[in-house]
Amino acid sequence: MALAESKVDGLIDVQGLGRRYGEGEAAVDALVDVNLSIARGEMVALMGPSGSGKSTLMNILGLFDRATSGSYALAGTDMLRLSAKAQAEFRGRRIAFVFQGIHLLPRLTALANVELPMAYARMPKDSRIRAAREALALLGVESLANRYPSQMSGGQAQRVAIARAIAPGPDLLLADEPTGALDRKSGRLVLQAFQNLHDQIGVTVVIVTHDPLVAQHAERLIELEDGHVIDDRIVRDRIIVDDGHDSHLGPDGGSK
Amino acid sequence: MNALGIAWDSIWHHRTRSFLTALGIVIGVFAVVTLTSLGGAVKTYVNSKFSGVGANLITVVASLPRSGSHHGFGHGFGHGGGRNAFFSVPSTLTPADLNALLHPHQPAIATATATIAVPDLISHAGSIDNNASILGVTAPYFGMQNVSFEKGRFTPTGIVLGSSLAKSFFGKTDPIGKTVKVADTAYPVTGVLKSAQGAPGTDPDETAYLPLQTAMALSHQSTVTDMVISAKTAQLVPKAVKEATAILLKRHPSHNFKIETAQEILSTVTSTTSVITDFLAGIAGISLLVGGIGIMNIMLVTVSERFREIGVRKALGARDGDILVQFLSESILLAFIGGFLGTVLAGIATAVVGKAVGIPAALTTQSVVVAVVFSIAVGAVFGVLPAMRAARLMPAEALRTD
Repeated sequence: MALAESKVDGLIDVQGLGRRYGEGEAAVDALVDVNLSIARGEMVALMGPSGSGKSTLMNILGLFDRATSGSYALAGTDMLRLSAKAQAEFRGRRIAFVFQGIHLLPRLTALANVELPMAYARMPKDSRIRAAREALALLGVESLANRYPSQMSGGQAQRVAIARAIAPGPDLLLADEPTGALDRKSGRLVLQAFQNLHDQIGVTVVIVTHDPLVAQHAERLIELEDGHVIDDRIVRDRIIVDDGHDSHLGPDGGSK
Repeated sequence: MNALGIAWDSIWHHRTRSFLTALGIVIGVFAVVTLTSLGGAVKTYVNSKFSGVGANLITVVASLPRSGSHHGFGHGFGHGGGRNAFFSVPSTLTPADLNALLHPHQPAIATATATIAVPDLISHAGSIDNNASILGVTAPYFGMQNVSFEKGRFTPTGIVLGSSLAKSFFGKTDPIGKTVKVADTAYPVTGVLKSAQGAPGTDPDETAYLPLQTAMALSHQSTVTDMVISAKTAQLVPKAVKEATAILLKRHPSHNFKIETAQEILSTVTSTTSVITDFLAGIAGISLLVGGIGIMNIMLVTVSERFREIGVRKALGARDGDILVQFLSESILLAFIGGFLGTVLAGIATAVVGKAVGIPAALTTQSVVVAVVFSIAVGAVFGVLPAMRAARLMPAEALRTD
């Protein structure tokens, strides 16, 4: 594990993490002794064949599931000690998700979709509209603000979904197969969008995927197999580098 | 989030399904509101009828002797035409009893009359009025029943006609001095009444009045159907009852008569109406219950259909409470819409039925309030289970269902 040494500004710290489903002889270990630390501002691809445990790990990181052993600290807080309710609150404020299927709510406009998480966070109407418009602009889809998901292409919808994820200013952006439902061209656009976001606002991105294209856009690649981390390495410099925004990266920005 | 907005959006999106779901509530509320409103209208109508007749009237009817366990159930209202509702008790009351009641030394009794129903048809110039009834009365009857004369008066030999009856026989011609026939005997018309509302069960407009003795002779009876006593004031009614009882007991030691005050009859009728109304409303309430179960059923379907939406919302930070409120709003709104439609339909039905039956009927505020509160309660109660199920859904679980 080339990058196991702890970062100065660690966002995620996972030690000896395990997840077991069932009991006794029927028990299945989805994750075994996973050690992982991710710094603020990193862009990580979590890869592996299906059944490797990457979705389980993603669910635990996203506080959708609870580890059965080990520890998980997010931004210095021990997540496994929190109640389900406290976890939900933490998730609401700090973590954003982009899903494989394009989970925009079909009967809301793009703007209303982007507003939604901030509405749930009880943010006042005018400031959430401002934040939503900014996020749409950041993803280059501000012209779609008043359209409904059925009036957008897959790639456009997924970019709106990403805008929705980043608008509240989360610490961590988790993406589960974000290109899975897209054609190759749209997929590239979406990945480009992730990368721009990462470069411009320095949000920490963890993408779960088995799409090798994604790996080309990530800085770091973590591979799982049978519940074990089998590889964790920094990949070569990304294909597209936007020099103008490099200074916006986190304190570890130079570690690429 | 604007929970009601989301709820309306969802209801509108599934219009047909929402309508069918709400239909259960529509029917339930419709039935409850219509029945309670009509019941209330009947009660008000009966009340007004009685208060028009006067609260100081006391009716004496024949009954089985007191020794028996019978308390003959309400003898019609007023003058039912010689039928003693459930038991055919032959009357033993005679004009002599009336004279005894009219004896001047009764401080509480103002006056009294006796009536007899004549089971004959009345005709004029060969045309028979089948709706008309013929009653033998004494002179005080008209004042006691609060009916007054349009023209002419009551005499010991002629006949007095109710306003509709006079119109149907004579049209615009003045009937005074003309004759009508009862059982082949011609009687001169000596008076015509003003149109009036009588006590329930009577219609002064459609009645012809003969002198008591004439009527008794005509129907070969030596007894009268009933007697009506008027107390000097409404407060003196109990005292008048006592006086009348004392007089009649002397003449009828077996106590084969029954004395009813207008107030007693009124309260019997009112409470009977209330019981029937409540009973019917209760049965109708069962359909509301069924409607509620329909809502619960559809909401459970809605929740499982919207697993993904719920998951997305939770992943975006919706709390359990937000989801609970969202789905609860939907079921309450659905029930409320049903309740509203049901109330509107009930308003129409009440007006139509009231018009058809001829009583002034309208929705009562009370029944509308009850209906609205009840439908909201049904939506809330039957929406809780589906909404809780939605709220407790784990986001990961919810998103996995694609």
